[in-house]
Amino acid sequence: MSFATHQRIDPAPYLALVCDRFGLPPRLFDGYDLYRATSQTLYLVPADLPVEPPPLFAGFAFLRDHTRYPKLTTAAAIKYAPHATRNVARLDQPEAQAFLNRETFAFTPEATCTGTGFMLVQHGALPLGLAFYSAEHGTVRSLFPKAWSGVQHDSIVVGAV
Amino acid sequence: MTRDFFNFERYRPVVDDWGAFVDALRRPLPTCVWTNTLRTTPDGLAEQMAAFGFDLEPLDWYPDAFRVPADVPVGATLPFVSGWYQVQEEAALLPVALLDLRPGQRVLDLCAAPGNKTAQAAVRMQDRGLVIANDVSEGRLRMLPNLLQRLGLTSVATVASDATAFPIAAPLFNAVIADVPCSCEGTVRKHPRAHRRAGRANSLRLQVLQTAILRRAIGCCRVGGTVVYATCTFAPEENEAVVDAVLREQAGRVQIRPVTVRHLDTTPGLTAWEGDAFDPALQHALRLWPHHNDTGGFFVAVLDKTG
Repeated sequence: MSFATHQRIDPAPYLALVCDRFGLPPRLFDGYDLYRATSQTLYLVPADLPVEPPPLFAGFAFLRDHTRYPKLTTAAAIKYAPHATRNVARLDQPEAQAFLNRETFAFTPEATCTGTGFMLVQHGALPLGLAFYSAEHGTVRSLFPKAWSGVQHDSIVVGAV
Repeated sequence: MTRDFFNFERYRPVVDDWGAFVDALRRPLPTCVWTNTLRTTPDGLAEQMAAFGFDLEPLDWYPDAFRVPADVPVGATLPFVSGWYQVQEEAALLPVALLDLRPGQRVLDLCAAPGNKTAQAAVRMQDRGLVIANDVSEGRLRMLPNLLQRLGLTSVATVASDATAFPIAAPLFNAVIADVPCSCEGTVRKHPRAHRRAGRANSLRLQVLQTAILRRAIGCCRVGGTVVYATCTFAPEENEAVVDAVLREQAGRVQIRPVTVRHLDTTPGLTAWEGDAFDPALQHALRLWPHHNDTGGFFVAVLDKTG
């Protein structure tokens, strides 16, 4: 993958979707363009990125749109969770461990939850990633990547926060 | 002593306490982490780690960073997953720490892989501006995006090119980091075999490449900007001799900035070595010896481009 093959796309529908779901202020994305890096992944790239010398890689993997609903990357979920005003799942210690184990578990959301869909996951002050909440079943399904950043889930230390 | 480190014997005349030096080389290197201040504060990180039972020891000379007890799994804690800190050798924090980086600037890291200094610079600029992470090895650069993603950095672009011929027509950068390939003698606490390749002949071979990289670093830097030259070796052939050669070439257009680092025990750069005399301004470079601060060995010179 090289930045030279990335295609700039209209960010408006994607940013509207993300800002609406999580109550993010749109100004967070001022100064960025959105590029399609692969058939599945969209990158946020600084709008003033120089074209010379040609970059091999630039920007931040933001969204994957190969699923039914476009989905934030785990890195983006962690980056923007502190700015979110709705659809945040605040997990206690057993729930956080279940999330890191990539499990589906019963969950009662806060009043700011707007229904079935993606949730940004927090454990105390720490943002941990993305989950999918089913209002019908009252469950959260962990979307924590198995080998994200090379860290195996069963070696991650979870303690009281 | 010192059969283990016989290749370092030639440094005996410039090491103040040879026994302490060798003892330090035999000890494992402490682990160091720095705070991602885009995510939390140093106090916030220390509190969070303490909540997990890990007590961090603040570095007096670099307030964002901490020493970590050896039993802490630094790559497998929740604050690590959340991008609250990065692991980096303490001595290697020095080049970026010596740059007066501000949001919006353009910085070039000429020999960037695996990217810790790139990330450190981008965080210090609050992820505003541009950091170009260049490395000749495209393969080694491919490790960098994972680090940038975890820390939430958007202001970094990677370029795969020969550092001696970095392809820009005009000097664009406010600051250039030239942490050049070297004999890595100062990493012997981490890589115990590093001393085996040490020696004058090896250092002289590397000197050619190092001089060419520093020359290009100065070429890429704006007038008024700063180049930081760094190695993790003790060898004067790769340190003072390289800076001396480039100072002569530049004929007054580049000057070594006198720097001191409070609470860090450094020694001045050498002004003579094995019969060669260097520019007296080399005394303003910094040497970091392992036994002075319980770190790796390091050399750094801050060069201001004035013309």
